[in-house]
Amino acid sequence: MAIVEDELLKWKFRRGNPEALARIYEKYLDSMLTLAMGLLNDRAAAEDVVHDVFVSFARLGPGFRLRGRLSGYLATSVVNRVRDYRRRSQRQVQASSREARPARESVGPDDAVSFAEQAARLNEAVAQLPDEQREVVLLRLKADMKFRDIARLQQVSINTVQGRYRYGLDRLRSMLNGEVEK
Amino acid sequence: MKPKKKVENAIRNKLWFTAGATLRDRLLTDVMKAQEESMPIRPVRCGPGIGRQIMKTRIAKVASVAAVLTVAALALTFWSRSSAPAYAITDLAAQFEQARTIHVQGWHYFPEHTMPDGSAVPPSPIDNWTDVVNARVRFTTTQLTSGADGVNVYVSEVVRDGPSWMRMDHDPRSVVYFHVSEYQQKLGVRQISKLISGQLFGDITQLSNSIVVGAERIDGIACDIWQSDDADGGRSRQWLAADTGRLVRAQDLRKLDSGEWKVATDYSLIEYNVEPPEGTFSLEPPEGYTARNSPQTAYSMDLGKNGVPGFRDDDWYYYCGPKLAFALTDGSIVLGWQSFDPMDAEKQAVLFEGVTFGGPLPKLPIEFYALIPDNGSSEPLYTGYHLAFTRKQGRFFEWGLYVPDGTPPADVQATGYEMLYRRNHEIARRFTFDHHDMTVKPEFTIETPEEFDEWVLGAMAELADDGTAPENLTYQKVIDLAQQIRTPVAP
Repeated sequence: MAIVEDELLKWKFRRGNPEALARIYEKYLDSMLTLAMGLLNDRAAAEDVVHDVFVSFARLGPGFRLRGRLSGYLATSVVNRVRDYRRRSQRQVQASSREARPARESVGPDDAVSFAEQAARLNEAVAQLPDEQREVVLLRLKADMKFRDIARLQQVSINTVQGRYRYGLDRLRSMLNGEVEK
Repeated sequence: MKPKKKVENAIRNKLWFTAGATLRDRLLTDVMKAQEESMPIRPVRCGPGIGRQIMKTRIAKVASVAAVLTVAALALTFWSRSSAPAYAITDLAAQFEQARTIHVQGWHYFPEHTMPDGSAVPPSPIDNWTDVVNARVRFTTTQLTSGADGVNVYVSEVVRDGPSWMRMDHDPRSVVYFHVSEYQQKLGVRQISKLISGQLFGDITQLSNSIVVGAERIDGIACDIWQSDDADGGRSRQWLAADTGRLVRAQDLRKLDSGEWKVATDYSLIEYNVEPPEGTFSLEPPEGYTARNSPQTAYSMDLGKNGVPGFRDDDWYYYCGPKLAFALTDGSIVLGWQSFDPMDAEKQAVLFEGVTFGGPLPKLPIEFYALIPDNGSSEPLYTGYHLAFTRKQGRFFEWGLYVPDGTPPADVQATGYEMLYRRNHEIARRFTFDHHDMTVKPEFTIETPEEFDEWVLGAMAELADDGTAPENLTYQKVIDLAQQIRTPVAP
């Protein structure tokens, strides 16, 4: 049903329907923010990425053509933006090492991302995965992307992607140390 | 449950961030503004043929009325009656330009769609006014959406008066303002017949296949009925007065799955030199309409085309494409184009170092190195040479001269040109433009040094931070360069 709705949204969006854009935005804002947060573990950067993704998407307007899934398209856009962000801020990333920063520290009182305690712990665990594994895990579980599509995005074989996914889950299980069983 | 599954479920269900209300609203404002700016506010015919994307292609595919109508005149070859008409269809452009005002009324129909209860979708009215003398325009646009909740018809109106444009949406009731530069306004005046033709014919090149299919009297006027089919499955009909060639009526038709042709748009009334009602071109929001911005905060309309995103996988990284083009009398084309990373456009400065007048084009990420006619043939080849570049707000625009290596086909200004490109950068090699139209049509033909200064140098100045065109670039120098390129070098 969601896919059927997305096809309709794509169709309407191409025709400049603002309601369709608003619906796409409402529907995918949180999931894309979650994906960006998971990849960056930095609220401000995640917001910037999501902002850029949606604004760029809105600008496509009548020129927009997409055969695949909308969620996959947006998720891929987020990943590419994140990669770009990392590339541009490589120096800062190196300075702060790979240590996961608690995302909550920069949350403002009224205008920021809110999230549950458990989400924070999960995110911190995800943040400690190597980039490639983190991308695979998040794209698979948060964006419902197929391994085949993730392989295309990462430009590796599907076996490599499945391996990254398996290793990523193993590491998460180890890091979370039974927490998920609660 | 296996541990792996539990981790998967936790990530799926418990790793979730929610945007706060203020953040959500702020982002939404930017997103909606971006969409507003990307929206074409051009005349549109609509209806069941909505898939033809007339709004996008109507004006874009009309390059030169004069040239197209020259082609259309060839359609007389197909004249199926024993006597030739007393007019030339080529007079249409002149009709439009010589009129003081043009008023068009009619209806959009939606024969390919039905309401959930099976009834017909109500038609949508058309009421377009053009003040030819002052290039003021008011026209109706219609959009159709269909989904589980049935079919919705959205009607908007666009009013253009000088540099200010207003789009009026009726559901919900609101207006939004746009602004064009003085140059853009002048260009609009210069191409008024193109605008009107665009409203009435859509892809005017389809007239090249027109044949006369009948005759009919409309309000006592004996008319010839011309008809042509386009490649998108549409059919166009025009009723031209048999004695004067004046356009009296026009229709768009769509072919249903049943094979039956149905009228999608009917311009049933076309009047010339009628005084528009007072307030027709008013830019004041009607009572009950909310202004989403003001003339002072109007969104600026870019000159020429905006670049299309270059895709890398499913994401975009670079914008590239034509900006605008002008033809020269010798068949050469002056084309402004761009290819830049919107997040890092300034980096391009180095790519323009050392480029010289008449030399190779700069090696931008995507380089539009040549043009070919967009008519299915690949000849002649128009090879690009650097003329100049301009820079505005951190973005670079390359201005190239594209010189054909043979005789241009007669209909090339109507069909336009396909832009051939090469990928110069590693990242650009993964781009695909499969879903985008990499074509360009010249605005019109530049015939004199004065026109070159006004339109070509004017466009360059428009796309420069300091508002001036590159120095020492003249019509004669460009014509001489084209001639030099055409002349084979002696061995």
